[in-house]
Amino acid sequence: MIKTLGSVAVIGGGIAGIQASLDLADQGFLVYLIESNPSIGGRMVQLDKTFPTLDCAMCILGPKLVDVQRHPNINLLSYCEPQSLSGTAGNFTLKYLKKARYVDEVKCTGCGVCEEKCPYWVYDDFNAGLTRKDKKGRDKPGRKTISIPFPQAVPKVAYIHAEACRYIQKGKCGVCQKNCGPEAIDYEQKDEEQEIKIGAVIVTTGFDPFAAEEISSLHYGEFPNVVTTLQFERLLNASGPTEGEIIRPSDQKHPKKIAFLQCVGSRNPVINKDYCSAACCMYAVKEAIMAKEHDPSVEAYVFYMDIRAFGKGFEEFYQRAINEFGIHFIKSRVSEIRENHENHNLIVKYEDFMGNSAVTSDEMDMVVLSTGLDPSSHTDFLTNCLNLTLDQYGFVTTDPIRPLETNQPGVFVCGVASGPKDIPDTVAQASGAAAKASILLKNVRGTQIEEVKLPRPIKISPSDDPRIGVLICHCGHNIASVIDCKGIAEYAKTFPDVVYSTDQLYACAADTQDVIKEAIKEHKLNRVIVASCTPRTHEPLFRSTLQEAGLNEFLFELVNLREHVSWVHPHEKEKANEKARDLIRGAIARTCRLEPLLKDKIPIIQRAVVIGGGCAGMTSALDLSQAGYPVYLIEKEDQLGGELLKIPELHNGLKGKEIVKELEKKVRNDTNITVFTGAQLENLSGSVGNFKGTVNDQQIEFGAVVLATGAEPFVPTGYYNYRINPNILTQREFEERFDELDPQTVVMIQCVGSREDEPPRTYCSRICCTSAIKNSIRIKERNPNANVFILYKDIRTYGDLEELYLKTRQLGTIFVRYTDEQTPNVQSDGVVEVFDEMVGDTLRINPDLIILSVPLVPKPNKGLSQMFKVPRGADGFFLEAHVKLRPIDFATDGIFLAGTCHYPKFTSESIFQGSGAAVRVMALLAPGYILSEGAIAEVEESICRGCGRCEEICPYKAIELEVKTIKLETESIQTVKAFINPAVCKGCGSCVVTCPVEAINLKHFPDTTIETQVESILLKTESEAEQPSMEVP
Amino acid sequence: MTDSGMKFSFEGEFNSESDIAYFPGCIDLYDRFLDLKTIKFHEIGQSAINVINKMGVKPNILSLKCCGHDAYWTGDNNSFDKVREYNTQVIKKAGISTLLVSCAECYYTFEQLYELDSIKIQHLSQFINEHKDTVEFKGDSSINLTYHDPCRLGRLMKEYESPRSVLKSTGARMTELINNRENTSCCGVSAWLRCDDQSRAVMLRKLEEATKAVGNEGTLVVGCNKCFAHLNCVLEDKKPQHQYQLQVKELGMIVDELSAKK
Repeated sequence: MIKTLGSVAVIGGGIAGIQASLDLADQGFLVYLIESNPSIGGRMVQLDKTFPTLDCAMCILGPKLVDVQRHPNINLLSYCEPQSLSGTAGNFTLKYLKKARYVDEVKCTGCGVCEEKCPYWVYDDFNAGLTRKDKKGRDKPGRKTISIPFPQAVPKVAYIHAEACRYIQKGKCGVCQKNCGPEAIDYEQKDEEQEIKIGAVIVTTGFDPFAAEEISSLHYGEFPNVVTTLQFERLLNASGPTEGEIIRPSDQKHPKKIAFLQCVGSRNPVINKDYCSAACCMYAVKEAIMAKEHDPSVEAYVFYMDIRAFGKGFEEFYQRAINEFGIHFIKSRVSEIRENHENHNLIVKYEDFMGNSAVTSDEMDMVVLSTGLDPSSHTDFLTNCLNLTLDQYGFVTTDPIRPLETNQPGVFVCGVASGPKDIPDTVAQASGAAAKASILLKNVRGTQIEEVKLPRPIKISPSDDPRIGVLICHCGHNIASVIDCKGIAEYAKTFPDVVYSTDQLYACAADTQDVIKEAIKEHKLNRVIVASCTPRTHEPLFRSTLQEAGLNEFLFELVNLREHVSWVHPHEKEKANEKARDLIRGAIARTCRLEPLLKDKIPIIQRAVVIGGGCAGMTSALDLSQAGYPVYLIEKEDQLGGELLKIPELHNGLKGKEIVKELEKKVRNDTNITVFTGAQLENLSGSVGNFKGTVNDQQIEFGAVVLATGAEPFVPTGYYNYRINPNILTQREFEERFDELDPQTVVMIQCVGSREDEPPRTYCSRICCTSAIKNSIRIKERNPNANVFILYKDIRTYGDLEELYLKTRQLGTIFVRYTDEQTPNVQSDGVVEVFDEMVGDTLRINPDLIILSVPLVPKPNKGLSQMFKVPRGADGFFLEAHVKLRPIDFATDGIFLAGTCHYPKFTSESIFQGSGAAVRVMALLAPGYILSEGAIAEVEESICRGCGRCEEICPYKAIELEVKTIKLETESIQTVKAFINPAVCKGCGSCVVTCPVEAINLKHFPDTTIETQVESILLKTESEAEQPSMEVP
Repeated sequence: MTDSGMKFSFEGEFNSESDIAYFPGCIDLYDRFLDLKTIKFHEIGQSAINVINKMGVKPNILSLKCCGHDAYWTGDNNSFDKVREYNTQVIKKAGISTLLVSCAECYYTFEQLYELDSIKIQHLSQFINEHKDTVEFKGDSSINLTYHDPCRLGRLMKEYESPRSVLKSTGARMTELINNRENTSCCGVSAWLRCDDQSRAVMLRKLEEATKAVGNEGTLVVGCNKCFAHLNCVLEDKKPQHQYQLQVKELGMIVDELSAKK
């Protein structure tokens, strides 16, 4: 009997790999995250801002990088190249090459001194080959031979480009080793072959940007001011080679006219890249907006064929680009760039249809090529070592209704490795892949991880005098170059409550943790202050150190001397040191008052409810049940299947009813799933982990919920004589009557009732272009002589759907573009008039049938929204916690969503999101309990006046107003009191500041402690500068 | 001396040379602080100005700081002395003979705690009473009013009659609360302190009395910005455990509604 192993190898450390790793590790699976680059983060860390929210990529991804690093169940194998896989599902052996960094990962603290001192440069792949100017204005090729990948790298360890290193090649230089404090440089390091044994593999190898030099007419690599979108991203980024300034490579000047050329390396049969890369339209629009944000005098031009803004929030973002930012969109694909050799400006030739159908050319200061997404360079490994079936382009093929499985059992795939997609779809699919791996290994969950054993906590009594230990960190030279660390340590020692004070080069180093633990024991410390960098990086590490020494983790305070002092005041040393002393003084005053806090273990019910029995809901239910969790599947209609029952044939030829049949059979045969049809959930009470409700008068208890309530086609009453003229149908109605209707001339009108100016239907419904094209192909295949016209605004057949667009044109379907200013006109006799820009004239078509493509609108969800207290967007769809990185979660814990109730999508996307929701539930329920936050808010009931402001403002819906009867001396009154649920409260403090009577106290940050800290900062001791006067406001 | 008093923006007719000045009190700050849904404190000031204008007076609007009532009553003499000093200077500099206030607490404070000897401090109810013949009232007996004597206007300053006289003149039907004049119960909170279950019980008692006097459709009239705040706050409870639906309005607002220029 081959043993099944409760561990998973995730190959690829981009956002997909990170999400899958966390979803698995949270359940208790051991994860090996293998990344061939020296740091995880993939392509997302190279971005500046992300569409459509313009969130900074690092701000939203950074915490996930730290989560991976800190997670006890994730082994990060960075700078490792997978080499071979053997074995079978449940028991694989993965061999990989641990590439030599020539730096000891354990000793290196990421201080950056080596990089600073290194005299030599190499090609900078992270910055897409961009160069920077040195102090003397000379062009430097990129990055140093030894460098830290990027400031927020995980792991933050330097690495040497051996082929360019003077010491490794010739035995000369060695400057980095001479300057390395922790003595971490090791030129003798060798590549090592290592192997791991795992039960499952998830492929998340991502993509490489298309090599633009392949299209010689665009002269990338020749003309200096032609750059790629990835390069432009690095120019925008403040950590990039120009520190966030958009400058032309040729003369370092700011460009005022910037052109973005779309579809470079995509939608291009000539170079065998027929597919659409799905993300370039959006990221070009984003970069154009960012260019204008950096410099409002910039004119930005986007040359496109279609603007594929098909995801949630994308269309609205595109409209902002036009209306708010004045970006110019020109529908013309540019095939050639010429250069003005005198000033290196670029001449772009195009055909502008907007009123002027002549061929024009325009001189631009800079041209940005929107390069497509190529499968990653690991394709060889995927075919040769994993024996995966790849499509003609190199992406891993998957079955449309099994979008997470490869042809190899036990090997799953997600992210761009299986086809170009954006970040939200990648994240959802990654969670889906984790679900599949979890199911495979469900019986061995928790068998490979090590239980973290903590010592018994030391008893601390409130009456004990504080005995504070202070550690001032040099952080290499990051802090020490500005702050006199020894002096600050001595200053701290002057306070009576501080019994131990020291300074250290690197507080975060592994051996310093031992120093801290020793000090706690030797000096009987009951509180610890570390003055170093931001809590974001190492507070969890130090808290763990305290726990390992037997101290409660909340008896720890971190003072930020780096981001708050040395990095922001590097040129004012005297004042910086004064500020450092002020902060230490405040921290000491605060730390004296810190109290131990407990994180309550709240037992939870390991059962789930799925609301909605369509393909998303059934997938969630099946995955959960197969992973070992009993599920209640609640469907409002009398039968399972949802909208798929009404779609006879999908764009890939699959039949809706058959897909439902297959799923339903599995559901009905699964004894772990209790199905309720013709039923709704009512009387909901409780919170995450402990919900109660009734279905058909039966009481049920459960720990988590998945909402999969779906969407349905909009009924376009009032649009284009719908229902007035019997020859006007929607696509759905046409499909239902496909066999009986055999039109000779058909006009299809796209975007009827969607992409409107006013909510709710400002969005793009994502699937209608494909749907219309599908039906056009069916018509033409049945009757090649039929005339089919599709009147459209943009054709959004993204990814491999582009092939359908090609196919239907080859079959003779005619596409006519219309604009918002000149929409098609359907006359009462059924004649359709539309102004065709390309021809420059109005077409009159007399069709037998007019088919309207309408958007999906969410099925009624107001009741559920109120019952679960989850929000909906202006479009009516449920509103997830974060449109980019948390498309399956709600801000409220314990509730998840999947399928078209989130946003219109294709069946395969609903299915993988359904699996994604399942793993989110698994990650929550697996431990059997949840921990309260510890530092949470508490209501003092006697002061609370029941006004309800806290309940309104709580972002996590953690507060409830409970009716109470208060007995007073002469009478009783009924009032409400706020109750904060410790299971849900995150300690954000919003309620504390909102309460008009100060009835709420935040543990770990009580008002009195904050006041003491502030007072102590403001009132300097006599030995310091003069007393500041306190002005009465 | 800095110009750090509150700045007001009301509509109406003003005269910075007038020897009658109006000070609305802290109402704009309450709008920010209390953010009640159906009530805007700014209306108190606006109605008062409408009424004053209707009665043929173009007042000066004084940019004072808070009168300091709460500071005084909570023992913060330091703050009270400072605001009193500032306000006294501004008032004296304005060269007025009369200082009109709509808030009972301002009335008490300026009269009793400030030394503004030659200047007459007048509560809005007294001003309206004096000038009630200059306007036409259009109230009738279908409008049910009752009146709550604010502690600072009633018990402390013994002014019970002017507001009653004004309300009767409007033509509306005026019913007394069971406990009135010197026996009136407080609105429940003073100086924003301890708004708790006890004060809630007091407020509910008041609303009970008022409902008994004028029914659910009636209006409880108050002559103090604070009473107006507290009683409306209870009515706007997020999850009310009481059934009171009557309206609570300030005196100037009622007079403005029920009067027109002659």
